[in-house]
Amino acid sequence: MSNENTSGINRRDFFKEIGTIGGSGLLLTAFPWLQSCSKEDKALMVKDKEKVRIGFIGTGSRGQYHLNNLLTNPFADVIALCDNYMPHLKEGSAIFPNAKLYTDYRRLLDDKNVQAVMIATPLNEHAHMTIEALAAGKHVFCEKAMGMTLQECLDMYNAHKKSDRVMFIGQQRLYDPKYIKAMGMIHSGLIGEIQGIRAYWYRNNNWRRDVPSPDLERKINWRLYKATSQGLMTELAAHQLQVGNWALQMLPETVMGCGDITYWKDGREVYDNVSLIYRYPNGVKMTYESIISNKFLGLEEVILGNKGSMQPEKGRYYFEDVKPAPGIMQLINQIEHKMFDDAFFAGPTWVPETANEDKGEPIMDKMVSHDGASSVGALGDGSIELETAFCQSAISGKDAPGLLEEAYYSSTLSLLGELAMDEQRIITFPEEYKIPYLNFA
Amino acid sequence: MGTQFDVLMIGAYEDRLKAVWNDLLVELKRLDRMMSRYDKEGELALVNRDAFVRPVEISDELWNILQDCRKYWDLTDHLFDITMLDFSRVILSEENNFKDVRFTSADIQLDLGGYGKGYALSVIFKMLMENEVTQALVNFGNSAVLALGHHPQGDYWPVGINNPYTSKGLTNFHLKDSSLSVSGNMPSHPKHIVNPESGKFEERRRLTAVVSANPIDAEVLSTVFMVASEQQIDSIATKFDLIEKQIYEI
Repeated sequence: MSNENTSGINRRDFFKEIGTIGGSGLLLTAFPWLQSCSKEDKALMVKDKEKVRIGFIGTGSRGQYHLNNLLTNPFADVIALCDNYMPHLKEGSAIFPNAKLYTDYRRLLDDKNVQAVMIATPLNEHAHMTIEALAAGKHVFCEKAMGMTLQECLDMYNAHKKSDRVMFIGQQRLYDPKYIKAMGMIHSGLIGEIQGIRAYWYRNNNWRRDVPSPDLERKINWRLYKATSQGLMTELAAHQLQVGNWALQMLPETVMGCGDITYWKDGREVYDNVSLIYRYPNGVKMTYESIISNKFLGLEEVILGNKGSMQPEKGRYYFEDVKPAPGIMQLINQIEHKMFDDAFFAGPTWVPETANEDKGEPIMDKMVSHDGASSVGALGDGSIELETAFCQSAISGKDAPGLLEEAYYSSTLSLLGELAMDEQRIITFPEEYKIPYLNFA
Repeated sequence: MGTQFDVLMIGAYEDRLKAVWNDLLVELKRLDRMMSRYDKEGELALVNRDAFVRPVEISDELWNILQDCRKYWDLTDHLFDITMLDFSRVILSEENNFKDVRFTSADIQLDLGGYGKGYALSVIFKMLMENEVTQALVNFGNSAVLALGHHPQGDYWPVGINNPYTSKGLTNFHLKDSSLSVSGNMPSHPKHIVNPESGKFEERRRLTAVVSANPIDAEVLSTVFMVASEQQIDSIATKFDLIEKQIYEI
């Protein structure tokens, strides 16, 4: 979490900040997953001090990130922890000393006191654990990506459809205030018609964890091996492909790409250098690039419209043409909010900034952005809001509409990207794996 | 005109307003070229290049502009002078429908800097009216503002002036079918208005603001009041139908 620009958004400010995009009614139509918990439901939960009893499976680095957040979550009561690697279980236990400890997730699922499970295990464990947890009557939060294969993702989706439990996937950008505000601006036409999306994640580290003995290499560094991971696509791209779909409100039909190991030739099996093109039915392309031996560009999903560009991660947007003078902007804001107030802008000749010095406009006043160096999680990235939404959904029993579909397609598109690179061919989204959503409905 | 141009138009038909915007841009580019000292292809630049050597035939429009500038020169005790030297050395003649201009000395150059934005606003005003745009705010780099009709939530367009030295609000105007022009020195540009009487830069920390139904009056007089004495300001103002004038020594 280095180099973070923290100007401190308070969780209480969340709806207040993003609410300014056009009233709560519009907000809930455009972002259906935010309506999983109504104000009334929430007030009741707060009043009754309701908490959901959570069993946490997978207490490694990402798991501990969630556990630390849950310590102060008023709706969460972590009562059980599970990991089959003792040092991680011990570290998890240090965060929640009173939680019951398990080394076999099936025993945790048998625990009748556990109402909900949160899963932060290696990717190859996601599908079967999720499906078994739903079958055991637990609400499920599972980290992204959903599964190792398209079939696993579909099985998870269908298992949830058959169950009456809530299911969340860890796509935290869906709850990140700056993303929500940015998408509201994009959908209102601020940057015009989207012509392209350029998503990337660059960092310069080997993506390895220290291994105490060689026989633990594949267990600890599961991200680097094909049996347990699909590499950069499922670990990084899955977050960002979702942003492209969210902006365009459309799903791409084809993907092509190249993947290679160009720098970290240390025995890993997953690419350290990927480059892909996703093509949407209207001809717009989303490019995706990730290189983990150079951090110059950091991470971003740049959304390019004919009138402007949005950088939601950085929290800024830019107009193609010179932006309106500040006084005119002030009047536009007044008129949009049906206000009438003095606009002080007149004065002796004002020299405008040139396009080269265009530093853009902030998406919102208080926000946090990060440089993408951390592979665990970053402050203010929507994770806390997402965890809270899951706990509230588990208490109310109401799912977050659309969240699973967003996650399903970000996962399947990341897997198809990996396949396109592995097989070096253009892949069309297979009919049998389409679930009803957006243009695939 | 070397500055940013913003138009805020209110209307029911977006496509129509976009078409108006495009027309305004085309017209502004034409005016900018005609009145620029620096555009070598422009009419004024040609006049500046040749008018001492030979009479230069000019368009009806530039002819009318130069006649208008002569009128302001007369009405402002010669404080408004597009030659910044001596407008009497500019000879405008008309014969058999040919209109030409010549200079009687080599050191004469025309500069429409204190006139051009007002003229452009008067053209824009006509174009907006012809296109039935009745609510709009046009802003030339914050120093020349034309207000048509009123703010959707009020009876006028509320436009305030900031003190360039403190950035605090000085005053605000209720603009309705009128133009505001502001002149003054700024901390970043303390010397940019020349007093034609003395030939020296006006360095007082003065700020002037003029509101008039005629955008050219507002533009010309806000500059004139920068260099005029108090008595001159009072006597010049009586010759025009001004809505409001403010002079600040700050």
